[in-house]
Amino acid sequence: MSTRLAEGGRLIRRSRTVRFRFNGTEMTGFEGDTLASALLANNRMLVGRSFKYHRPRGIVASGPEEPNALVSLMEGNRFEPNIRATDIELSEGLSAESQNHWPSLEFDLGSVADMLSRFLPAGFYYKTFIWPRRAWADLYEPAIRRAAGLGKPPRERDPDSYEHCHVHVDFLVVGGGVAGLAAADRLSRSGASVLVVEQLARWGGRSPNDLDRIDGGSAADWVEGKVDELSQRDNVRLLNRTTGAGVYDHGYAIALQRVAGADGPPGGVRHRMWRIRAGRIVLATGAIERPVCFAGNDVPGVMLASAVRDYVLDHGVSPGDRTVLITNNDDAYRTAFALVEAGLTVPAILDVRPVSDGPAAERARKMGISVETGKAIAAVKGRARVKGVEFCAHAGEGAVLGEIECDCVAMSGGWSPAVHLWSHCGGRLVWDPEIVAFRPDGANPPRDSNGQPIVCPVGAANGQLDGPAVVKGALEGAAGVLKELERKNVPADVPEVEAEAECPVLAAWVAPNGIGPSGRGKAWVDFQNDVKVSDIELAVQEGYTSAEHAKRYTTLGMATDQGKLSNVNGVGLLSRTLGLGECEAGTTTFRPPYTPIAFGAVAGDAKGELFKPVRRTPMDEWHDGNGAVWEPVSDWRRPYCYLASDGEEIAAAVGRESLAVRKSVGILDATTLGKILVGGRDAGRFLDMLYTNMMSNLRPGRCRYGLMCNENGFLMDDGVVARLDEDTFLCHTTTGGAEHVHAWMEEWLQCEWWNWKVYTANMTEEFAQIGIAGPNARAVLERLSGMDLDPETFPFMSWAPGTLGGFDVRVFRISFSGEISYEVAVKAHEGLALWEALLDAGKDLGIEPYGTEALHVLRAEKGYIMIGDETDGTVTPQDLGLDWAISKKKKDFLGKRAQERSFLNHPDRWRLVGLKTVDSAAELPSGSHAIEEGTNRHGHTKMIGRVTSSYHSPILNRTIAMALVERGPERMDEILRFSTTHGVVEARVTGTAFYDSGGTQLNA
Amino acid sequence: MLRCDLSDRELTSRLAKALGVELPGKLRIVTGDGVQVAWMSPDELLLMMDGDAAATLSSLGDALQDTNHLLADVSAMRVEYEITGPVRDVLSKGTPTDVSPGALAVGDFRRSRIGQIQAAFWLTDDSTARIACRRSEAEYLAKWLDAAVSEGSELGFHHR
Repeated sequence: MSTRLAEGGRLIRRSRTVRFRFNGTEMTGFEGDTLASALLANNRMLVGRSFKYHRPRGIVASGPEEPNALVSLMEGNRFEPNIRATDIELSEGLSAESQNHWPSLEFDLGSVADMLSRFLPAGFYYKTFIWPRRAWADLYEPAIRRAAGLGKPPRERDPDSYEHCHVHVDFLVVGGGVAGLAAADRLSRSGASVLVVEQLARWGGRSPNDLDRIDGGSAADWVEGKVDELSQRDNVRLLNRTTGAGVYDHGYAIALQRVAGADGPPGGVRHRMWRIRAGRIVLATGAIERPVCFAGNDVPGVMLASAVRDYVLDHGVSPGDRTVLITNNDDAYRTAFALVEAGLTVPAILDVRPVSDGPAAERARKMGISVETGKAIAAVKGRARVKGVEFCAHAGEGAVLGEIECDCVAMSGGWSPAVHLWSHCGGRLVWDPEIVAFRPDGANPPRDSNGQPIVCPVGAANGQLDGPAVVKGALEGAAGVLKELERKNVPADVPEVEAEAECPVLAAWVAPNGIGPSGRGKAWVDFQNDVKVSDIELAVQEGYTSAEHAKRYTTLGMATDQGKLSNVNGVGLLSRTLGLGECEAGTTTFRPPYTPIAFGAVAGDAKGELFKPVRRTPMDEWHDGNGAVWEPVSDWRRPYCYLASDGEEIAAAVGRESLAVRKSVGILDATTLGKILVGGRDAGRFLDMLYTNMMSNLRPGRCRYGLMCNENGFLMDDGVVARLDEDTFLCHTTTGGAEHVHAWMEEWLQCEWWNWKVYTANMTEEFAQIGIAGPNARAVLERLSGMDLDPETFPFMSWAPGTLGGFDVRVFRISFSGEISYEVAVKAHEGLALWEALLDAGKDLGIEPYGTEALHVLRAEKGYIMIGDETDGTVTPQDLGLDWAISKKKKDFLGKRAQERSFLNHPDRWRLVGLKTVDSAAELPSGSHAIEEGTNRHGHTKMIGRVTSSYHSPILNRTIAMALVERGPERMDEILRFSTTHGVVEARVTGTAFYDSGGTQLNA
Repeated sequence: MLRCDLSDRELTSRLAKALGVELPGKLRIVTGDGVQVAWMSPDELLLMMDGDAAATLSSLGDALQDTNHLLADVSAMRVEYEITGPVRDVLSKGTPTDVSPGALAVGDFRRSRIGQIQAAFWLTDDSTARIACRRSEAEYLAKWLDAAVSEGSELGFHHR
């Protein structure tokens, strides 16, 4: 059993007891424990069930590479799934639940899958659940999802906050072990700015447990001193609990800082995403120990050798009384030493190497540990907990030579440099037979746009796996980078690292080497995804011979741990099965993030009120206080309509507002319309190119409606252009088109017509604009007094500057409703005051504020098009019957050439018509398709058109609509059939002007 | 707002004379007597004037005569916030621009973004920054700033 030792544990404070709960059971640990170490101290080795077979699984590792011990943390609105118990710092009141089991961790029904495991081979889901296709949605998928899956999504809104920050540094050092600290020391002496990020709470990486001495003292002391020294330098920033998560182009990197743990104050910052632009990224990410693939290597109690000694040395926890060590290298012997020195028993070291006679083996033998060379594990006894091992010759197929009673197995298959971040942005790897691992290929680093390397690997991450080389390599790496960047290299004392010489590691992808069929089916390569040695062999048999294909077929290296423990073993096995050279099959692609990042951290502050900026007009607050029902219009919010009382229905409000405009007067907040100032000697010439009609002959004081097409001839935007003076025009655009049209203008001016004398300015925000429409519109404005609005001198499509009720304004007489209508522009900060003055002036006339829906109804009654309704980027002005707004005189305008193409002139094009439903009250939803008897060449129902706008017209008391219809204008009076969600609706083709087609109201 | 060819030396010296201050270089802002001039782009300046700007505008008009330009009053277009304290840390949370002391000094002017909106900012001293954004997005920026300076969220990167 696992238990707390009477003494030891350099990270824990035994005077501080911490209470926590696991699966509802109260337990205690010490300050400085991780959840994993505390669980082991409470003899909880079993912490989860595997993904596919629901096999009992225990803690394997001691750090972020842990594949098994995934728990759900906390409850309610702070619930967080899939967190590694090895990463959770124990805090008072913490609660965690194990995952992937039903009904309980100890008794799991899903584990029946394990008994059937030979019927659930690699690719099982692909092979089995193909037919019948129908059953997927109702049967297979729900069943699979219940049985499999990692964790559950949180159900409540997270009260905590998350944020991003952006920093620029000369050097980013990822990893705060001895290599990272030594490199940071050297780099920062140059005066350059250095940011060091370390994923754990503590500094020093593996050095306190794995290095003998530095500069004559303990490694822990050296680390403490170095951190202290660095933190006092002005140009150095040290961030612990911060994972270097991804490296991207141009030296951009992200790091995730866990600002607060499970005990953080609710509402406070939980995670912070650092977005770092670094001159160079120094990778000191260390190495990760590999498991050994032997039969039963997933039984709880089988752990990485490094993890076993970490628990003993860091937390004073014994993973077991009797630990058998299986290894292919000398490093793992440290675990045996740590255990024996802690008073525990190591019955045997099973070393797969035929000979082991280095200093480590010698020391082990001196300590009285039996070192069995050339041996491997044939089987593990026990199911929910290791009870013993049967050992065998490594060279053979696994004939049992004997049995050893034990309750823990420490395994080490060698160390793999943590090359993930090196590879994220294209750094290549080479196979290094000396260390039996992939390491960064210095000749092929990830590069920036100038071909310069953006990442420099140092220490164990660079394949320098023994202590002295780690520090030496880090300093050399730092010096190399400083030289490349022509920065000062200030030499300092080189730390002296003492370590015993190690014998070479032996490549051993399975143990025993000739493992038989039954062993292969029980030897796990990937714990998190339940991938066995036999699955990889099956993948090869079935033709999945590339690493990428085999990964997807077997799921090797997928899910939350992304194969930190399994990838190299998997590739080793794949290569061996294919008969290739050592790991010749190559790795799969490494992708960010290095460890999972919570969605909250990705979103940052973009949630709640800050989810998306909402643009508000100067009258926004008035609308809000007067019953506005809001509608998003591009990034703005605009009143859709105003509810006059609590009980009023939206449709009733829209009807009331539109009738007010038709019968008396309405007032509209039109601030959001784009207003682009175009000035300069060539302004007229420029607008002639931009609009389809002529603008250069517009007289100052006059307005003209214009259409803008893109270079493909399709209608892009429309609006009224007013000529302010000889050289200046004000172009109104649609609300959503303002930024785009402005950018479009600048593109042509900057890239094509750079020598034209024109400047533009987006003045949209400068003015509040108020529409006053209806038979009494003029009366309302006249009541404010100050301007002569006589229709003789101030006719339709003219504008004038002036003073209205003391406000400096521009008044445009333009109309989108077919009524007498003015738009009054005033400085934005005076918008609300003018709005209220106009409301006041029109009070006895029954003036009504109207929203965007009434605006739409009014324009549709007149057959005016709306960009985005009648257009969708594939519609030309000609399709909409707007030929009158296309100049025949102009030699050129944007879109002209395209509009001459045969396709855009085809007589079968869908063209705009009006529709009146045969049943005047029938609803005809926008988007409904006009269908005809018969089928098209694909055998589908034949469609000949679609509804682009459809409204109930209060003034006509009937449904009106517009539609794009094949040869539409040729079908006047024809009755078309439209397919809708509530059956077929019939409608008669008409002209588009439904109301006052003669324009008597407009010109009154 | 003034758009004109800032690479025209003769023009810029006329403008400097009219404004009573040397024009700002790229990414800079200068302060004269009652006027601040910010470099917005290679052909755009933003003039911020105290009180009555009529005199300055009129002499500016003279300087610009017969020159291709666009001069527009944009005084109602933007909202300006002033923040004091560890301003570099606060700005860091919103803008990808380098705001470290070596990259953003008093007299520098940046057009970038804060959170999800476009914004311009500059320092008036080492612990005071001004941020200008579109009027319509003023409320977003205020809320964003509130969140960025919330208790416990101190960054401690530029300011220890």
